[in-house]
Amino acid sequence: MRQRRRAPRARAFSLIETALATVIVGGLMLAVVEGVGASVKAGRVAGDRQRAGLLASMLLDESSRLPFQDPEAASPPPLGLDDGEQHAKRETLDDVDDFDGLDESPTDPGGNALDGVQGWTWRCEVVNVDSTGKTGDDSGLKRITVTVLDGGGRALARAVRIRARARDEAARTTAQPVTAPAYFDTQIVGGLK
Amino acid sequence: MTRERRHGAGARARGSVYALVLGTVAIAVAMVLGGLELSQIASRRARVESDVLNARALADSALEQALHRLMQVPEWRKAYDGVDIDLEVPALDVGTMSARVFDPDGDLIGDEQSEALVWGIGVAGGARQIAEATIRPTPRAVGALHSAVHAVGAITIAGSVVSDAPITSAASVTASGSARVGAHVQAPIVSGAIYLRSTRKSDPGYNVPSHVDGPAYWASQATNIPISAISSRKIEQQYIGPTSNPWGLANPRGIYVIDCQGQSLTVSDTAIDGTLVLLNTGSATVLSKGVRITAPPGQPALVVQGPITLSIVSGTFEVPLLGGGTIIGGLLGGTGVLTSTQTSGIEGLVFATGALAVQATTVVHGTIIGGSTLTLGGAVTVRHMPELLDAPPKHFWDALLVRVAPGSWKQAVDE
Repeated sequence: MRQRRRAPRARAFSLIETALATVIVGGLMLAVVEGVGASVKAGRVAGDRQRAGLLASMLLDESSRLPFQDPEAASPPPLGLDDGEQHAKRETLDDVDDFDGLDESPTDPGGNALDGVQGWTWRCEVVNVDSTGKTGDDSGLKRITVTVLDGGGRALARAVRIRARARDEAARTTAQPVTAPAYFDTQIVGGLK
Repeated sequence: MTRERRHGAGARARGSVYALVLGTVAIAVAMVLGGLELSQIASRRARVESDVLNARALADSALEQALHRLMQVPEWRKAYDGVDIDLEVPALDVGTMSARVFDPDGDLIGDEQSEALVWGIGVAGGARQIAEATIRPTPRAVGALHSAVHAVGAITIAGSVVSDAPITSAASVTASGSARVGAHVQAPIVSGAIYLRSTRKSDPGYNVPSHVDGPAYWASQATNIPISAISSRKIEQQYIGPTSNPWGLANPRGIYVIDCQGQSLTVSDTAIDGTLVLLNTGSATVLSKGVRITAPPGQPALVVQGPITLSIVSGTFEVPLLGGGTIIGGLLGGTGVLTSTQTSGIEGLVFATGALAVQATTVVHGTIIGGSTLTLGGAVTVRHMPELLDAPPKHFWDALLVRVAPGSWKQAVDE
């Protein structure tokens, strides 16, 4: 009888054991939740940075594809927007430095908002760089810097490149375009075949 | 015994709760570590992608800067043979850049007109990217090729002249008597009448080919025809070209040189496909009656070291065929085909270092450059040839410019 009564007591967890196990498991659960939460957050940040990097690269490519200098300007105009150009509609921009001062929500060139980047901002700065790489007068090189920020103003990505006037010159198919002097029209006085 | 067994069972029960806790701990730790590892992988991937994008932008930047530098250094082949190109901005805060130029055949300095490859190399973090472009040195025509007629010395116009491009002189243009000038004119001094188009009194500032190097180079490319072989120093009713040289072996490019040794030479009723180079011409050297000279692209039509008169009569003339094997304008000479009808005129570039006179009804499609004085008489027509600006003959350009071959800008792989 005695022995039969003792047996169940021996198989059960003691109060201390149960309390200790609960504390350990509870603590662990908290750590797990925090750890998983942190990793999810880190993963989201990494994803944001990845997307921001692509956006920065996209804007950098878009700006650097344009001519070094406004094709309609006879002499280099000041950096930034020219008449009739808007950052909100980038298809109106026609040279690299038109992107200078851009500070907008990321959009496609037509001005339509992009998905998944609500609250984000991208900024672009274009400056002349001199032979020492510092900002200066026009020496044929421009530095383009694009920064993408999240809703909290935190920089997610930054991309930078140098654009040279030489590329435009080198892209001409001939040594010198046949730029006619002002007096050189196509009128023929007669006698020519 | 029974008691001990029961105690043993109790111990096992107490042990199992620790095992349960340990198992839970292990699972929890695994979950946390797995999550951390996943987030680290994601971060690493984001960083690698960012590095690649930055490196690519740096590579393009380096390539653009390299072009910038090559345009500033005329002797870039010597300066950068086996040496990195010095970039003005070699580093940005995202990484570093370098550039180099090389010839795929290994000989960068051997041929100034051969193509070369330029690499821009960008390094960001652990990523390295290369942007490549092929440089095609492109000749820049001497300024005189912008004009229909240009002379270093004075131009005198005594007849009528029409042109779709300017007549220019570094000295003066004078229209005498009843001359009628149907072309824009530019020279420091413009005088006389009658100018039917605009005039501008200023030096066009055009450069001209060297009086020595140009004729010497084209003579070196030519097949020599001895002046002594030419009967009475008159070339009449002949066809000269890549397949025909009445005085010897044919030159495959149709380039022939005659050293007149100060004597005068007459060329008439003669068709030439190629280039005629005349050296040391006598003062009465003349191209007269029917003459056709057609230069292929990249070659001048007529190069004269000395004075010459072009007194070509427009219209057609006949050239006798030499028999089987002679091809003129696609016609094969042979039985029943005795002559070829040719149309007078010069297609290409004319350059004379001495006094140059153009008269009669000469028609030139190209540019006439006089290294000395130039006289236009009769009823001369000059139609400008813009193609000469795009592809000037050798020694009619003053610089080789750096140009990128269309479509050659691409990502490269470092082998």
